[in-house]
Amino acid sequence: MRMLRGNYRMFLIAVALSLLFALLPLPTWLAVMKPMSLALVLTYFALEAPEIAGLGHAFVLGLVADVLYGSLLGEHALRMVILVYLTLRFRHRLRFFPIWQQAGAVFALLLNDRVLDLWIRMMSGSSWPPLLFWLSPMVGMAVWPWVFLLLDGLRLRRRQAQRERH
Amino acid sequence: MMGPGSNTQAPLFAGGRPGTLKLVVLLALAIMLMLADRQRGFLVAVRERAATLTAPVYWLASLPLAGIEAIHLAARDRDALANENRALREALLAAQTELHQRRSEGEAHARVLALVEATRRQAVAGTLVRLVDLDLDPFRHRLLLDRGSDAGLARGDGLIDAFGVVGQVSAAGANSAFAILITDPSHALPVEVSRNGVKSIAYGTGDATRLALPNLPLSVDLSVGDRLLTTAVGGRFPAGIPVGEITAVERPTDAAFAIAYARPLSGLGRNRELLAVKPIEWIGPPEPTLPPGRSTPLPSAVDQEP
Repeated sequence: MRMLRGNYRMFLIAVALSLLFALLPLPTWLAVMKPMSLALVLTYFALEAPEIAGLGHAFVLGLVADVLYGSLLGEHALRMVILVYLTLRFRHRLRFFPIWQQAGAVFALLLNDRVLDLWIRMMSGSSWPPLLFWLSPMVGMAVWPWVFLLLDGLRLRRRQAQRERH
Repeated sequence: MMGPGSNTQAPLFAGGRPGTLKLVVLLALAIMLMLADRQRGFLVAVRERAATLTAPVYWLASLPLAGIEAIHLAARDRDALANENRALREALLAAQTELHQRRSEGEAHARVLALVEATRRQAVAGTLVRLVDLDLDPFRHRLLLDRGSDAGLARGDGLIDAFGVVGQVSAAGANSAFAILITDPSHALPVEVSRNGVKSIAYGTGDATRLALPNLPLSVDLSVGDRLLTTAVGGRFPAGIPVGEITAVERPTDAAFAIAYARPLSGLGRNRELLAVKPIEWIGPPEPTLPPGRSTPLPSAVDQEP
């Protein structure tokens, strides 16, 4: 139970940092490459701690993102729910992939997320985005191994520290 | 850690195995929210209330940049600052001189206008707002402002900078507001050519360097270099503020209409200080009675997206 609580705190911190990261001002050429950080964090927790990152959380965090980024209310919620659902669905397979293969799967997830994003945009009357729009999933794939190792390392350290305390 | 099969009855906020029912319910909820938000009016209040909560988050996210700027400023040597100071003072002097000249011209102009009883022009009054330097979405033409309804901002207020029209406030919270740029594809602005008074509507294209003026008559008197100004039509902006400069006029031989492109004259999101101007009072014919559900009196100068 205590471990769950520790994990939960870490989940909230990681999510808060990912939401802040997306808001970080960058020069335009860098900003278009910014990976969808919330999606990466949610994917990690759906893979490694599914008792925390459920669909309900994905929905609520998506709404928070909508309010923060000023997008259509429900847009990120929809996208994150679908992302987490797919991750949970294929969780048993994804977990035993080598990390580079996992990165490929994350690319597919992020690409799907981008397609959904595009679909919602088209529905609300926006025009076709520039080609650079598709760069972000690729960057997401490239940073996935590092995100994974970082979060995994932090979680392991916390668990060891807890074991020593007992 | 719980095994994937051990939680047979998953509560809403947890659960290892994804429940299809929960997925369907949440997706339906999200879609309903989006539709409600798009119908506007319904969720504006929710959004504006939430905007008050988000102010500290924005402040936190803008800290790194503010820190870098502070270091940059501190590290700049005195000479550079002195030079800049001198240059600014010269520029101020030049601007002052020009202002004096303009003032006398303006008086003469006012007399002429009074003579012919031309359209009354309102003096521009507004609130100075600053941009919050945050990335909302590089593919959407959005801005975040540091003032909200507490400072008198409201949806529909126009935003101008020293060079021209920038955009419009699309949602105002207590201490922050969102704005869309005139280059947003969902933005349309009534304009007038300064040279001959030809009227048209400038649409955003999604490209920050281009506005489009479609559906012009093939014989329209428009050429590259013409300046576009705002008109009082639409009521959102005072008349006569620069909008853009025509960069291309296309008259396809196989089409019924000509199309022109213009380059926005304002700095769009690059100038940090903007002036928010209130919609002007309605002059002219009475407002048409609107079918229920539509909240805007004119199809022009109105953003279609929240």
